Amino acid sequence: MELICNFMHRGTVTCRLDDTAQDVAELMNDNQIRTVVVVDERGGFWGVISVLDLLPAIGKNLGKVSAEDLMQPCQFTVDPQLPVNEAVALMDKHQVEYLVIGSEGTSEKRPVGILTSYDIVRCMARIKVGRTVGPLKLAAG
Amino acid sequence: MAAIKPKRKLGSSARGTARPEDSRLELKVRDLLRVESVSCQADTSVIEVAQIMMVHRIRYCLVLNKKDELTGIVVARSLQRAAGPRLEQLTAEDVMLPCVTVTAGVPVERAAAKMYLNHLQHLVVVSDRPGSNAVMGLVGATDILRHVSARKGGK
Repeated sequence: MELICNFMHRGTVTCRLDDTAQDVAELMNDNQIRTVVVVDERGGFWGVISVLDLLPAIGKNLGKVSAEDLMQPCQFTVDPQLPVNEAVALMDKHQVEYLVIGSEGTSEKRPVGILTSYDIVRCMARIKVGRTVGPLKLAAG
Repeated sequence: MAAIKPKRKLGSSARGTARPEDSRLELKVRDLLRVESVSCQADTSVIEVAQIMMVHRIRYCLVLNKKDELTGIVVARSLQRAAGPRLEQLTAEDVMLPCVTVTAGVPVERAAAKMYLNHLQHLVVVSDRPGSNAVMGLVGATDILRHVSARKGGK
């Protein structure tokens, strides 16, 4: 059974609630990402902004639209040990293209990673993120 | 891994560049156009489509019929929805979405609105010459984002 910890992005790129849409667009562009996690001053998880959420602001003054206005409010976080098929079912149920992975064993929600539909594609292509393996030996021949 | 189709050229070479005479606010879709697109045939298996997307580091794959005409687009979201026990039997045709098109002369703001309304990160760009429906390429949400991000401070 595949677990999402093998496919998720570890760590998240975050912005603050009062950052502007311009800041978020620059964050996405500079980091070559499509999803930014919105947190408060204490690192508490508030929501997510995807590139699609930014599109309605294009053509407006991006410096006057706040991240809080654009974000999809946080509904839940998931455990890194969740099986991939359950993660896909959750994405379908909530009609989202990403899941935020929360830290384990803490009452406060802190984002530690993100799983997007592109990571599900990587899982289908049978390509895991790099992982550490023990001492290797050359195959005979 | 099965043979992977090479990048398919639609239109001329070289990625579209913003024309210096245009002000950024009047930027048109043709200025952000990606003329190189990746495609597969309609009967390509879903797993092979996933591998094509990974190899080319893209989030879409255009689907062509036997006459090499554009019939649809597979995006990461459509593969995510296809995940399940029947995955191995599915082909690109089973999971593809219809292509949403935009003409090359449309301002990028309108293309962004069309992407948002259709919940799609890629639009197929067609020629704005009357009577022509020739595919010129693609425009992606990140192409628009790059343009916006370069416009420091907004309007």
